[in-house]
Amino acid sequence: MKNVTLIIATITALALSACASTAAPTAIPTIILDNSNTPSNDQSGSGNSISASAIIVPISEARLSFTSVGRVTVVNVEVGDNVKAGDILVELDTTLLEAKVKEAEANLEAAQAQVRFLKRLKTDQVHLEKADAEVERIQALLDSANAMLAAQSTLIAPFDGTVVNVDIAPAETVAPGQIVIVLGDLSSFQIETTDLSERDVTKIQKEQSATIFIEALNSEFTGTVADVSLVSSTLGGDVVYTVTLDFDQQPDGLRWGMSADVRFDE
Amino acid sequence: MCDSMNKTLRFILTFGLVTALTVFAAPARFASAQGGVTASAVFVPAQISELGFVASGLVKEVLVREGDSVKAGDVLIVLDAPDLQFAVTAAEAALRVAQSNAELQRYGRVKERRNGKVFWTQLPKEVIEIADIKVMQAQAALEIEQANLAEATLLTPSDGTVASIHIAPGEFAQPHQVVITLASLDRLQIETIDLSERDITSVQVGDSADVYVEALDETIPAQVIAISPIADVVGGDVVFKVTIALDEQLDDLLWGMTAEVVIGE
Repeated sequence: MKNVTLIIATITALALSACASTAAPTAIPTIILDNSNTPSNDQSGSGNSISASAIIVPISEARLSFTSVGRVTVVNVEVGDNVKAGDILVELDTTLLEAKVKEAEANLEAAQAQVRFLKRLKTDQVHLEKADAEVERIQALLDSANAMLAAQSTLIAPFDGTVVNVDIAPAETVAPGQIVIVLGDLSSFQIETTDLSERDVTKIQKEQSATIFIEALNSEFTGTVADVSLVSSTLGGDVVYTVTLDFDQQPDGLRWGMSADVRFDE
Repeated sequence: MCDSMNKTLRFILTFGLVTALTVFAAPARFASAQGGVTASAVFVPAQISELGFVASGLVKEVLVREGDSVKAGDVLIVLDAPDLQFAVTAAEAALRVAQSNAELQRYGRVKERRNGKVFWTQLPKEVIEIADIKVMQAQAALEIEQANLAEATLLTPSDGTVASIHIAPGEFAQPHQVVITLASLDRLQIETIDLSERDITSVQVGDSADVYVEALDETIPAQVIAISPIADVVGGDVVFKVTIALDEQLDDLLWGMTAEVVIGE
């Protein structure tokens, strides 16, 4: 429809200019250029539709890291692997933590033997209570050592998804907060706008429909606004808001990070 | 009269031009898709290990040099850790003490008076039990100190080549600081750096590729082994990293050399 208008406009312009000037061929590119530029206007009044650039993102993603310093022993996954929630992705060397658990276990056994001894001797209540309290104290230390072993030994997939990036190799060290694995649920994608200005965001409502053009697939899809960000971000001096859209139907062949153009319907 | 003639002529000309453009443009695009995807790429080792220490300390010895081939288990760098060494010695002695003590409890006797007679009986069984448990405890304590000491030595995790060393004897190694980089320099592969999102849809894992190595002026057959599921942004362009394995390794290839890749012809 747009193309037809474009061609007619070109032809009309050419026809009009034809008699006035003989330099007709130069007029063609000028007019086409002007026409193709007009749809992307974002401040020429409320009557026109709003467009924005956008990026394709998975519905859920996680950047995983360890909570402690440690040495990696095994990396169980590589980029592209599908994992289930609870799968062990990376394992750390636990020699030290295991030895600490062992020591705490021995301490507990010793304390328990002491209680048994006092009970058999029918010692007075005060001494028995003291020994019981000691068992409880050491039990707590053992629990703590075990919890540390559990928390600092493995990196576990928080949800079903695909491994998108692995930034660790066996024998390397990890630091708290260092991102070692990026996980994304690539079964369904969303669209997030990157340059929707504050001037336009007020005209966008939840449930509003939009047309999404994906450059890589060279085709258009329809979508619906799922969320409008309540907080702004800045993009090269502009105040922009992120609008998230759901696809009405998931297209095939999408990849995380592909770019798209979104045109919000009236 | 001239006007209307001119108008008609212009109309026909323009229409012809537009049609011609459409007809020519379409096959041109189709042909470029058929001719394979071209991208710049760089050679990288199939495996890179950037190793560091978990503990901190002064470097005592660096036992390898850049370019050395190392086997799994080889010692690379040792930290100066006399305190950890002494702690192990102390824990070993403590273990021997606990063992002797447990042994002694077995032979220990206590005097007991029953019906006016004196008996020598064994120590209560819990006393012996606790002495045995103390041995296990000392054993675990020794393991802790040994584990601490082991952190002062950096070992080779798997066979490879020392690509670079970032620390010298006498320097201080921080926890998690990369001190040595190992790489599989005999197994280099290629990663594209500028393959656009527009082309990624026509690339599949398993596609064959031709790799032109500029430095050697040679073209090597290769195969796509991985496509990154996530895009990178390079100078405003959305690109995807495609990893390509060579069908055969050339001797003269070096890490970081550039290549031109044509995928799927």
